[in-house]
Amino acid sequence: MNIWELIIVQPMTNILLVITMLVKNFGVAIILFTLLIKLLTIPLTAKQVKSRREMADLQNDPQYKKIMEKYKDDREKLALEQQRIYKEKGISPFSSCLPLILQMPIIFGLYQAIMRAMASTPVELLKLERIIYPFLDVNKIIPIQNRFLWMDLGQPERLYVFGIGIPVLAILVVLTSWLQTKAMETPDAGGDASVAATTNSMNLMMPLFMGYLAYQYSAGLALYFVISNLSTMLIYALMGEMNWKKLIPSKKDEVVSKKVIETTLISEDNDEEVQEKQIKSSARPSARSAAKKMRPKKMKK
Amino acid sequence: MKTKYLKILLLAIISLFLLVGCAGGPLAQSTPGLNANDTHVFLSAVNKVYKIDLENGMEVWRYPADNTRMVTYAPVMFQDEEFIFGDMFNKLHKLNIDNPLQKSWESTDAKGWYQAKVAESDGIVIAPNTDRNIYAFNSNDGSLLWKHEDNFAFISEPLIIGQTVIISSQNHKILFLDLKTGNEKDQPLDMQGAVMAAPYYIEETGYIYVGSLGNEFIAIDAKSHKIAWRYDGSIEKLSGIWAKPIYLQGQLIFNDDKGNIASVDPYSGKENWVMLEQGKMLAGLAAVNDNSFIVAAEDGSIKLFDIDRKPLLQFNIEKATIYTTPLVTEKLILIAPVGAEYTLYAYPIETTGMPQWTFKPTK
Repeated sequence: MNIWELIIVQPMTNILLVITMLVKNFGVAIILFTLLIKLLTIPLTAKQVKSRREMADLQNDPQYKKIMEKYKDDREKLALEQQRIYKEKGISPFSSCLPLILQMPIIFGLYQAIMRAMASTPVELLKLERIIYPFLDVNKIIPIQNRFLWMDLGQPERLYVFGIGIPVLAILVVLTSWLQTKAMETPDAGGDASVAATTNSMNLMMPLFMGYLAYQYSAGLALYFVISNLSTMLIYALMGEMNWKKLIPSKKDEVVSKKVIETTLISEDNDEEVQEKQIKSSARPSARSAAKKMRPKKMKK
Repeated sequence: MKTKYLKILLLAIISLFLLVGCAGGPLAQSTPGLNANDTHVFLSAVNKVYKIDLENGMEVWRYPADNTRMVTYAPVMFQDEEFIFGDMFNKLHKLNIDNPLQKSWESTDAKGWYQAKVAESDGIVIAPNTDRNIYAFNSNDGSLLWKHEDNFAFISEPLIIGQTVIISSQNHKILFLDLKTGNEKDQPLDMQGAVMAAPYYIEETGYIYVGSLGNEFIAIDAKSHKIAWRYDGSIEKLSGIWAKPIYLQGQLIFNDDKGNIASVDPYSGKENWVMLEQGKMLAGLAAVNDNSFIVAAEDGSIKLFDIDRKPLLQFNIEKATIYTTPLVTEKLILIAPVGAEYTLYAYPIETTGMPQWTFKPTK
């Protein structure tokens, strides 16, 4: 057994099996286990949120804006000055990534534990039996009963209505992933129109990609995705980090986002003037305002 | 252009993270299936069934010969000039032994995988499936006669005694079904854990023998379907039992997955001897002749013992992981490991550890 298995997958699988034994339902166990892991990683999430806030505040700091403007043509100097400000203000630009990176093994471990517990072939079952701690009396509950509501957690999920298989969980995964990424978007992410466009496309691609995984793989994994998304949204909401207004589409938003995309396309076609305007607008607070400010100039042109 | 690259890079990184996570999960692995008649061995491995000459290890045919998608690990079952096997694409096939392109029938009634060898009696084929059903088909035309549903996948070979189908259930039970109707003939027998091993019947004793993952090995009266005895020997805590026992010179010998091997009296369960922890073992034991048996451990080590557990020979298949119980024919001991240089190793009965031939499918 390798270190990854020993430190991450084995303990997680055993905890999941113990929860399953206690609640006597694997679907409920996946939900509880996902919530438990989310609770345990709250300190990391809080640290990540704090760093995000600090970085967002810094974007609006006059001194920082001034430096951005002053050294916009000298990347080396700009980097040095940025480092100095980070040091002065006690901000680490990577501290918002670090908690995320630390959470990665836990998230993958959680996924692997769920997949491991859903063993169905003899070899998979044997491997599952072998990683159960001898002091736990959980080997008597394997193989796990995979039925939960209308789902077989070991198979891709479909709800059959009049003979048509509807992938309810995959749809929920896409929806919750989109809601999550949309509502948790950093306000400054779109300061630069090209970054805003990238963020927009990522916000669409990621939920679709997650939905594809949920559609193709077992329902247990899809269930985990949904619960994970919902719990993340809840945790962020409690920390005041959810921007619910972003979820309500308005005509104004549609026009603005179209303009942002148009502007980006123009900038990609080497329109230097527009690009310059975009750089100038990079310190501005949102994609919406950036687009608004760019619109008249583009029309003038 | 930079934005475009940034997008691709970001997507690639995220996809990589996700796929690394996904790849760590268990794969649909299983154990190669083996069965032999007088002249040929039939190997079910990954995506083909191979018919191999027992004399020289030459491939006679493979099915499917083309790139038709199929995954199979279930050993074939012979019926006259034909053979039946199931695959992991929910199909059960009945084909001609000499020419597999001559297909008698193919059933697509099941929704899950066929992982176990099927059984046949009175023109009825009993096929366990992972879709939680046991299926019964008309052996002549493949029409579905009945199906019996339970709460878990069925992955072990059924046993048919007279008009009763006896089948292990992962739902901690042994089921007794009517061969003709699929109805329960008797109350299921409760076990302490999931039953992965196929039941084994000795007509002479009138008992059915089986172990489970719940640290137990029992004998069941084939008539009353009640427990006749339960192993209570010197192995303090039996580990999971995945394979059938063997019956040799009046001794019933079984093993658990930690490699504990016990010989008991088949009538009373009284222990004759034990050998502790001979290596991790999913595969069962195989009788080589009246006086010896072979043990194939998961790490590729092969041991030969006489009936009084005296070691006769030990050798190793390099890089092999063995999950499949060795198959012994009149002249050969056949071992189908995974991960080794060859897919099948054939040793002479009077083996010295040197294979008589090996088989590896050509591309």
